[in-house]
Order: sequence, then C-alpha cells, then structure tokens
Amino acid sequence: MLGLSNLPKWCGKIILVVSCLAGVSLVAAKERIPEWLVPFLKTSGNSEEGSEALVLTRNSLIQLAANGKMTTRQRYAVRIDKPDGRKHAKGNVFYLEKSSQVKSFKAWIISNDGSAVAVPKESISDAAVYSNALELYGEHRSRAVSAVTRVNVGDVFAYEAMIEDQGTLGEFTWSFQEALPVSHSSVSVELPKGWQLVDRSFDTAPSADHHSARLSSWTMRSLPARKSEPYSPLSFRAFPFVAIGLIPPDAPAPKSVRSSYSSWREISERFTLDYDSAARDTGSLSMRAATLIGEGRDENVVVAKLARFVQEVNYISIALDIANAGGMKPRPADQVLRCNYGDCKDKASLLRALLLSRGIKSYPLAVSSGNERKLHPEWTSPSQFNHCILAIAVGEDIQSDAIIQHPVLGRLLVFDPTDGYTPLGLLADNRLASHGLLLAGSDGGLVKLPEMPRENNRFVREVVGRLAQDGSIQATMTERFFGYSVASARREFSRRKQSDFKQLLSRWLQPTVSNAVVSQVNADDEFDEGKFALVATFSSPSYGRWMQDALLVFKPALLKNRGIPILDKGQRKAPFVMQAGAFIERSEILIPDLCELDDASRPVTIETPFATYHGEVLFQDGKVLFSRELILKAVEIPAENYPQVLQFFERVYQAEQSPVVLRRKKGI
Amino acid sequence: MRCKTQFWWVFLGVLSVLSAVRAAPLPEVTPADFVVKNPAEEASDVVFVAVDVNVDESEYGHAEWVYHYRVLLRSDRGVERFSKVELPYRRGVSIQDVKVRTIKPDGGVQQLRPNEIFDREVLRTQDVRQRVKSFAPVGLEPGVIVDYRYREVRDSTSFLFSYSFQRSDPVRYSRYRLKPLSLPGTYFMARSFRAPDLNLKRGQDTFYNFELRDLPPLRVEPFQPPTIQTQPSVVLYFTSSTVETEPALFWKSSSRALHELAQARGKVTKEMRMLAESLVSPSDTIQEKLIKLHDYCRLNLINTESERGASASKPKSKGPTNPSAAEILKSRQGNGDELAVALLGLARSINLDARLARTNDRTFIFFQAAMAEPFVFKDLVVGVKEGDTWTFCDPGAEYLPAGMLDWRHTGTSVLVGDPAQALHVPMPVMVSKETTRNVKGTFTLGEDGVLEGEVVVTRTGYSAAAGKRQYADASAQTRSDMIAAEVKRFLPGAEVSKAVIRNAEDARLPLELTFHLRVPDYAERTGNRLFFQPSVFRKGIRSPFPEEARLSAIVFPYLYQEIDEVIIHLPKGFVVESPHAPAGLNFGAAGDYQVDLRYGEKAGLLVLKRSLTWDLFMAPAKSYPDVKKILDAVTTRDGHLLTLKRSASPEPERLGEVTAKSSTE
Repeated sequence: MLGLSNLPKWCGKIILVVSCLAGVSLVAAKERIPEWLVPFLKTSGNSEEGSEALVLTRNSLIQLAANGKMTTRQRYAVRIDKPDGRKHAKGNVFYLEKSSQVKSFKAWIISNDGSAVAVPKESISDAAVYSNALELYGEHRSRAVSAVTRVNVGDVFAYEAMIEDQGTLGEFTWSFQEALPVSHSSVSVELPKGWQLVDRSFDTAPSADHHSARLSSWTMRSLPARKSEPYSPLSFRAFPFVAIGLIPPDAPAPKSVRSSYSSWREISERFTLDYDSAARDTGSLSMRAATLIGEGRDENVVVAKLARFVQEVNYISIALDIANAGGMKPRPADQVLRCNYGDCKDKASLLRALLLSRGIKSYPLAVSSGNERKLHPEWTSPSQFNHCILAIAVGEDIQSDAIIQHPVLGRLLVFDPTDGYTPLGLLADNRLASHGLLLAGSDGGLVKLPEMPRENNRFVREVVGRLAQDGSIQATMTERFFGYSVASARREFSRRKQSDFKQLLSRWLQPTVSNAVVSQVNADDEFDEGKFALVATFSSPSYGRWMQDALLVFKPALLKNRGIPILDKGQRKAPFVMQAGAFIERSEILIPDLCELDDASRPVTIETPFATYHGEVLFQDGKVLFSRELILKAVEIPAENYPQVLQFFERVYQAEQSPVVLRRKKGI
Repeated sequence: MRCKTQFWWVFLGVLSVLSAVRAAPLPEVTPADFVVKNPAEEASDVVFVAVDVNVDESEYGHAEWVYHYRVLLRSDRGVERFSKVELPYRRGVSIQDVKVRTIKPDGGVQQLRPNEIFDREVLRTQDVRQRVKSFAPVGLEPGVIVDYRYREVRDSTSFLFSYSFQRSDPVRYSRYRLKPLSLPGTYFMARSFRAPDLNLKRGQDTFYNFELRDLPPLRVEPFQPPTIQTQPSVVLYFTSSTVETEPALFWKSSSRALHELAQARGKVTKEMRMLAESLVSPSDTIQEKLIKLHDYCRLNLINTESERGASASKPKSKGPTNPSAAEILKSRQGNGDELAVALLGLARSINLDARLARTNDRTFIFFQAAMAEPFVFKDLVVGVKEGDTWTFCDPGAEYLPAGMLDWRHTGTSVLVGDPAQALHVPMPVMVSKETTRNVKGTFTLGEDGVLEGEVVVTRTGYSAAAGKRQYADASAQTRSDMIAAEVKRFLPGAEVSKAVIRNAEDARLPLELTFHLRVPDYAERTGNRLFFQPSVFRKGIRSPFPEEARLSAIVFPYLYQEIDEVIIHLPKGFVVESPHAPAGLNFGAAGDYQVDLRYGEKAGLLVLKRSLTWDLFMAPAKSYPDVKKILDAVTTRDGHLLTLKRSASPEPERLGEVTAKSSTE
C-alpha cells in the first residue's frame, strides 16, 4: 500500500476500513499494459528470499497548480511470488471527503504470458475510514480495489489513481518502505513558478534529485520489507522517509493558501489562537467550575478536582475540515461541557478553560503517542503529533515527576485528561515520544517531556489459602499495582462487569487450579495516590491431586508470572530493550494435618546483567511458603545476546512449574 | 381449518400520503424508571426500560418503521456503549425524525441538537450504498436514561418479519406492532415461539400488537437449541391464500409441490441419459451408481455458492431463473439447489427412483409436524429409494460424500416430493463410528520434562468435513500455521513443525494430518520426580459445561468417536511410581469411555489407548446435571497424572513385556 500522508493525525491511528468485495465476477477484458508498468515487469528475483510478493514499484507524482490545487498520481505494482502472496493483490488510496476527489482509479492484472486484463469496476469500493472506534464523524476515506481471488503466482497486480486536493495543508511525507520488499520506490514534486519546497530526509532516505527548478524527486531501490521487532529501540523502528513542505510565492501566506511551517513558534502562534478562542467562557464554564470546587479551595485541590472531572468526560471524536488543519482545532469548551463528550484536544481545551476560570494558566501540549516514534525537531510540522494533553502552571509546592521547567512559563505539570485511569501527577503512557509542542503563542515551541521513572513499575501478589484433605482449596489473592502498571490494571478491571471479571480470573487460574470458582473480586482503588489493588477469593475442588492415596501434589505458583513477556523464539536483528519492573509474589498455603512435605524444588536464583529471579519453597508451621521475585532492569541487550534473554525467561518459567509433593504422615 | 380464499382489493401504485404511524406513545419517564428492579438489572450495565417498534407496511413500496428506545445507563461501561449510536441504512431507505434526549434522575432533560446528528456514506460499491446516521447523546453519565427514536422510511415491501424480544441486557417492556400490506391472493400468518401468551390476531386498528414485559438477559449456553426456539420471538409472513393451513394438508400439498417441481425441472433428455450411462456400469449397484453420479455433479459442476465456485463461475446474464437439469448440466454450473436438480435428472435418466427433497436446518428451527410453515424445509437435495431405504445426496455440499447430509440436516426429517401424500422421512443423526478422530502419537519424554515426537491425526465423517472446509484452499504455510494454532490452544508452549495435510480436497477420503510436536516443560519436575499426563492430546481441554445450572436443552451437533493412542518412551533412570490407570466409564445409551494404560518398566515404555464414544444427541435441561457429571468425569480421567521417580540403579537394556496395573477411582 502507498503511504502518502499530508495530513496531521490526531487521537489514534487505528484505522477501521469497511470494505466488502465479495461475490463479484471478473470480466476478462483484454487491455494494453500501461506504459509506465512495462520497465518494471522486467524485474527479476526478489530482494528477500522467501517473500510472498515483491513490490515492483510504488511511486507518487505531486503536481501543484499556481492556485494551490494539488493533483497526485499514485502508481503501484506488485508481483505475486508465492500462493500466500495473493492476498497482496489489492490497493487503496486515501483522500478527504470534502476537499479531495479521486478523479480516476484503474487496476490491471498482468499474467505470466504478458497478457493484461482490467480489474472491473465491480471490484472497486469506496469506504469511510475510522480513526478509532469512537469516531462519530470524520472525513477520511479510502478508494480500494481487490483482485485477491483472481491472481495466480507469477501475475502482477497494478493500479494507478489520480487524486485532486483543494486543502491548505502544505506538507506531506513519503515512506519508502512497506510490509513487502520493494524494488523501486519514489516520490516526485512538480511546482508552479514562484513556489519552493523544503525537504528533509530521515533515516537513510536519499536527498532530492532536482531535475529542474520545478521538478524534484526522491528514489530508493531494493528495499527490504518493513518489519519491526517488539521491544526494539527507537532507532530500529525508524524507516526511511522524506518530509516535504511547500512554500508559496508570498510566504508567510494567509491561512487560506496552502503552505508549510518554518518554525515551531509559527505553529504555536497559529494554533494557540484556536485554543484561546475555544476557551472563551460564556458563563457556563465558570459556573461549573464553581460548582465543582466551591470557594476558598487550595489551588492544588482545585487543579486535582477539575482534572478528575475532565477525565470523566466521555471520549468521542469528530474530525471536520481536516484539509485545513481542522484536526488541530478543538471544539468550543462550553460545547464540550454541554455535551459531556470530546476528543483529546477538546478535553485539554475544556480543562484549560475551567482552570482559567479559576485563574490558573495552562497550555495545550501536542504529543506523539502510541507508536513511540522518534520526533524530528528539525522538521517543523504538526503532523508529527497525534495527541493533545495539557501543561498546567503550578507552584513550587507541587512535587511530581511529571513537571517540566519552562524558561519563560515556569513550572508546568504535564497531565493527560484523556487517560481516565491515571491521576494527576503521573503520566502512564510509556510510549510517548521524547518531545511535545507547547502551544503558548510566541512562548511556545518544542519542549522535552518528563520521563517517568520506570523503576516504579511494580506488582506484588499475595495468596493465603487452605488446602483440604480432599485436595480442594479455599484462598484469597491480593494483587497490588504500582507505577505504570496501575493504569492498565485499573483499565482491565473497569472495562468488565464483575461477573465477567470473575470468569476471566477463573480462566487465568485454570491451568493450575482446575475448576476454579471465583466467588468474589473487589478493587481497592486509591486513585489519587496512584495505587490499585485487586482482592479475589476463590476455591477449587481439585487443586491438589492425590497420587495413589499416598502423595498429594499441587503447584504453589497459582498464576502465571506477570513479569514474563511473550517472546518470539527466532533470531533477532534489533537489540532487545528490557523494560524495568519488579514482580513479587508470596503465597502461604496451609496443608492438611495428615500431610507433611515430601518433595519440593530447590531454591532457584538466576542472575543476569538484565534481570534477576529468585524463587523458593519453604515448609514452616504446617504451611507451604512459596515466594518468587523477578526484577527486570532497564537495559538494552544486543541482538546477539537475545538467546540469553530467552533462556532466562525459560528457566524462570520452568522453575515455576515445579509442584510441591506432600506425603501422608506415618501412622495416619 | 379449511382452506381460505380471501378477496382483497388493493389499489397498487396509488401514492398516498402516509401520516405518522399512530400508536399509543410510550409513557413519560418517571422516577421509578431509574430504580433497579431485580438482581439481573443490578448486575447489568444497561437496562432497556422500553423498546418500541412500530411497522407500517400497509402501502406497497412505502414502509415506515419507527423505533423508540429508552435505556437506563447504570455504569461507565453502559455509558460507553451508548456514547455513540449508529443507524445504518442502505439505498432505498431514509432515516428521518431522529430525536434524542438525555433524562437525569432529577428530571433534567438535555436534547440533542439537529446539527449534532451526522450522516456519512460508509461503503459504496457498484451494487451497494451503505450510509449511517450517527449521534452521540449529550450529557451521558451513569444513572441517566437516554431516550431516542427515529423513523426509517423504505421504498420496499417486506414479506417476512421476525422479531426477538430478548436482548443481552434486561428489558422491562418490549412492544412490536405491525401492519402488513394487504395483498390479494395471500394470507398473512403469524407464529410465536416461547411466548405462548402473545395474541396472534390483528387488533381493531389493523395492527398486530405484541408486548412482553420483564425479560431477563439472553443467556448464551453451549450446545443450545436454535435461537428462535429458545427465546421469545414472533415470525410473520405472507403465504398464498390457496395454501393449506391445516398441518396434514399443508404437508401433503408441500410434498406434491416438490414432486411437481421435480417433474418440471428433472426431465430426462437424450444427452443426459448418455452422460449418465457413460458414468456408471451396468454391474454397479444402485448405491454405486448414485455415488458416481453424485461425485460427477460435485466435482464437475461449478458450485456458484462456494467460495471457489464464486470466482470460477461465469456470470449469469440471461439464463433461465429456474433452469432444468439439462440446462444446468450444459452450463456446468449452478447453486446448491441447481446441482441437486442436475443430480436428479441424471439419476432418473438411468431409472433410479430419485426424487427431490428439502432439508430442515435444525440450527434455525427444529421440524415439528404441527408447525405448518414454509420456512421449515429449505435446501434441495436428492433422495433415492431402494426398497424401503432412502439415500439422500447433496452435491452442493463440497466436502461431504454421497449419502451424507450436513449434520444440520440430521436428527430431524427430510420432506420428500410425492404426488399423493405428505412424505416426511426421518433423517437420524449419523452413528458415532462414522465420525471419528483418531490421534496417534509416539513420543520421548526427557528428564528435563520435554516431550517430543510424531503425531498422526485421522478424521472421518463430520470431523473430516469441518477440517476440509478449513484447510482446503489454504497454502501449505497457512495450513501449517493453522495446525500450530490449533495445537497451542491446549498446549500453549508447543512447537509444531513438518506439518502435512492429506486429502483436504477429497470428500471421499479421511482427512490426515501429520506433524512433529515438541512441548517444553510438558512434565512438571521436582528434585526427584516428574509428573506428567499420559493423555497428551487431552491436556488443557476443559469440560464444555463449566456452569452448575442450565436453562435450555442440550443439542449436540453430531455423534462421534475419539480414539487416542499414545506411546511414550520414558527417560532412563526413572520408574513410574505406583502405576495406575483411571477406570473406564459406561454411560449407557450415551456412550462410553475406556482407558487402557500399559507400562513396561524394563522397556521404559508407556502405552495409552483412550477412547470416547459419544452417542448422546439431545437431552432436556433437567438432565444437564447428569450430562455435566459424565463430561466432568471424562475430563478428570483425561487429566490423570503419573509420577516418575528417579530410581536408585540404572535400568537394564532389554525390552520386556508391558503390563498394566489399573485401579478404580
């Protein structure tokens, strides 16, 4: 798929594409092979052995008219090299409903024997593209074509599309790589007289070939498939791309003319106006703030109460006027208040307005969340950000790891009002890029975001149980979460009804505690302190197993160790980034009077430069005491040492599978 | 009841201004509506205070469906569910008069503004235009009631209406009103399921009016009877006024209609006779002939309803809508029903007593003779009679051999064409030995607890058909991935390699899977012992009935047999401590479970043979505790563990006879 992107992205990149192309028949109309495709049909081999398909070419030509109208021609061709590669015989182009139009969209299948057929119109669909499940309305659309059931191994599937756009966004990016290996990837820009462009190449992307004053192109060849391994450093998740900004003849241009930005301050000044406008109070905001706060409250309490209120505003996104940077503009705060819903920028804006009504200043902060992409400070574009949070001016008495010091604006507490599971003072999103864009007029610009100490990420589990003579067990389990783990635990619990959560817990217990019945599960939620605990009581008729009435066997590790990640066993190219954390468990199981300990595994201690583990079973006062402690350190492990990581976690897993064996006391 | 013929004069094509559907509106919201009324509501995130659906289809080509929902949101999860409401609609339909308000417990009301309702095209293809009207009710928070209504105007007329009253959440009041078109020469039928108190007669306002109250949340239970027969619902539809309504007469006329259909479309031609004769030999038995003709239709005619067939078929431009057998054979393609017609023609051309028949899909509705409804029997198959025995064939079923119908059509009856009588032929479920899953594994268990070896799986009957449907068109890599995923469901840490599948495309042969399996940490280790489950292929499989109680009857898809044969070479230096095997079980008519476990200490060999025969097709809800007890007992026995203890002295090299030692549990 082509990845041309010229629009800022806000609030999530989950794309739900609705398409339905079943049951259409292909009319085999003979066609001439498009001339642009002919040279690429001669491509032999595949840069990646074993790959299902090879992209022969993916390219885009952007032609700009003097009035700013942009026409984009996209071309794409993929050769199917293996039967499983047939699923790649499809394509789509993205556009915006109001400002763009797909002028033409044609596709072909070229067989091994050189004959070509057109893919009929019945195989083409047009669908709305949802940026997230709670998008109420948006303008993103996709025109798609599929020949998945028609192609055979050796065939080439190709398409060409022409899209016209009338928006004012003057920048876009081109990513050279994609999920398949690519033989040829290029983007070209043709400008009218008087226009200029500024380009930046990142992560080994080439510099421009300036064919003339008006035509520039960027080309790469023989690219491997874009794959990123989990737990890899940012630098290994970066792929070559070029960012292109357009500069009209009369720069700086008015808002109505397509243009890019020359500085972060310019972006800050531009969009601060929208936020200031959105924060205007018609009376409802100050009235609501007064209702929530009362009079004479400590400023810190005011901030905390208003922050909590906005966190509870429902999330709904409405994306309008995207082509003219509508994705950056919040709705009026009093409207968000009335509706009690909004997206990330709406909630940031609402909180800002409520705080302002109490005389507390704050500034919207555009950040990049989720992909943990590297931010490029030299490329001044709002499209690097996809989320909006808030930086709140606070006094010296507030201490928090989420505070940044601004040279002009002072101490700013960074807070995310969209995250309903993390209190003020913490930032739970450990996938934020390093910098954000502070929208504070001429004082705004890029700021470094606070780094949350990852060592705070801790989980402690305690189990107290009683094993009966018949092998049944009654137990209470308490799980306490600290640091980053709190938000996800809170979310996991809140999103389910009690009955559903009990069933989930039963399923988790099943491998060790078969037929477990969870009778109760409650949360002990200290939201403002950033602590969360779950307390569950459960029982099972068949936890301990009698072996020939002589030995009673059970596993003391009731649940899977939460600290063990799911890892691929294959070879690795990128270093492995271990996330810091501590996972501690203590369990105490009272055994039947008629039993005594027969056999248990020896204590296990495993120490490595990146993690340590200690597990042991003791027998004391008629109880089996089991403890395990897994400590992970924040380190980067070279790829060649990845087998050691696998080995470490395998040993931990093995150590935790060992059962305890009790025997009947003599004479009983 | 005698046959009715009613004369209705409807002035078709007159456009009349249709006023808003008149029905008593829902009463206003009261404080009592905010109060939880029972434990089911207490446990729910959402309570439907009222659901009201008014349907006026009295004008041909113009229908109005008015929906009114009133929902109490009890939690944040409930709020999130209703934070965005989407009303999809397609070409020929418009959504109008959307009214939304949020009502707070203190009586405060917030209205949604017209500009807060969005309209968007979500999908457009050459044939499809799908749009959606969406809105986010304002002021939502736990404890409020969201009240919304809208009108759906359609430029079409429906001929079949079905409505289910229950939902996954509690419903306090549900009303469904319908005014159908008056169609000359037709009769409008109404039937209810699991709602015996519903009045199925039209009211004086010419509407059918159905109301139910205090409906608990729908409970989904494993192996349930068809939905339509487990929850309160109504089905209303048009039928010809000449159709009999008395069941005996209805079925007689249905059989006759099927017979006439066969006569009309199954006419034998010279070409058909020549083709049929070329496919069979004179010495073939009737069964053999039928198999050959069936296989010809299944393999040589493109089934346009199958995924493969849909892409391979030629477009049907101007062909007849109900082609004859000769036409279908000439075009070499057809849907499932048409392939049956083609087989009928071929069978008749060699003088087999072949008839058309219709099957009953028991996952939709179970046939009962008193239920004289046309939707009870649907798909066409061919029945061939030999003496008193019927053999039914469905050439449209890609992965089923001749003489085998899809399991959904078994355990019920088939309606066979006959000129003179209602002919229902019982179609029993296939016996368990026809559907088998035989798994053989030869393994080595290491001292480190690793189990490794080769596995061969052979499946027949419905088990094979299900597997073939899954694997048939997949590439070798995809098949391998599917097998690995299937194994990992019960052995999460397993590594699967060298996976090969045979006969995935051949309906006549058993399905075979072979693969290499390695399971790290299969055995649990202590200092001196290894604990492991000999029944490798049953590890991690839970009983299908975890709940203690059940509301609905139990219906299993089909009867089956499972046979596991496991050979495990035990690690040197270990002996089985107190070898014992679980006892078998005999469940009487429901089947049995047998375990044969043999251990050769000298050979260090363990051999397990485990078989389960399941012969229970259906059981009422009150039998659930017994059924659960049986399957729980099977699961417990499958989970039987053995202990290997490190022995003091090394094992001798000679292999000796394996012996068994079993005990009762």
